[in-house]
Amino acid sequence: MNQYEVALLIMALVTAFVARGLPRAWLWISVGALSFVVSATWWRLHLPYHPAATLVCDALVCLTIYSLAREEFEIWLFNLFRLSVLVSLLKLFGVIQENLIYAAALECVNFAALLLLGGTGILAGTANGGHTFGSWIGSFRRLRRALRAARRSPPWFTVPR
Amino acid sequence: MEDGLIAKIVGVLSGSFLSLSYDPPRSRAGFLRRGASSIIFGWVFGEPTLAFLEWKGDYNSTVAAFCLASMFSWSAIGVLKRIVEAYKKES
Repeated sequence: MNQYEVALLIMALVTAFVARGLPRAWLWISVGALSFVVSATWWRLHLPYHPAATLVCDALVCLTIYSLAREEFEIWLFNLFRLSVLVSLLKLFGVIQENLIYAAALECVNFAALLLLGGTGILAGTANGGHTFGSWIGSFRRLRRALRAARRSPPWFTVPR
Repeated sequence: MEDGLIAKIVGVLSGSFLSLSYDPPRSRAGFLRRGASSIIFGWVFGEPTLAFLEWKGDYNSTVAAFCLASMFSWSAIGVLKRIVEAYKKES
């Protein structure tokens, strides 16, 4: 494992800890981790079309989140993974040529996704009253309401017309 | 099957799949409309896209061009639908 992967793993574990009161955050951390492991293994084994494999993994994560999302924070997460799909597309079409920039952009999206899940977990914990974090976090009520609100638009396969 | 045909099919289908995950439709009818148009127009405009971008006609470029054409068709149908809806509301 390189230093970025170690940093991501630590951050995923910390996020899982702070979001322990939010089971759906655990679900998305697991799905994201699975996608990351498949993509990183593909890269390690020097298999061809690495950006395409990453693109397919992220697109599948996008589809999964979109299909199963119930709350607004999951839609925000979906948008972050869309960004990841866009980065892989730009790499595939040759707009991003440097491997370093490509990897850094994907890492940034992954970190942002973990921050979103961790933040939502902390805010959810303060709402339940039993969280170890400071009470000042409880003042972010509007943000919490926005993140934990029910999803606004239903998935397309449940809407006939 | 010839190699070029496989590349075109892979390109068009991957374009539709990526569009579905990147820009999901609002309804089942929208999915059918956008899916059909992205496959048809992706197939039709794949070759012109390849020529316009001046890419070589190898396997990778063909897949990329047909994928791009398919994705563009998916988005274009969505935009067109919104324009028509806005026009209907106004009139």
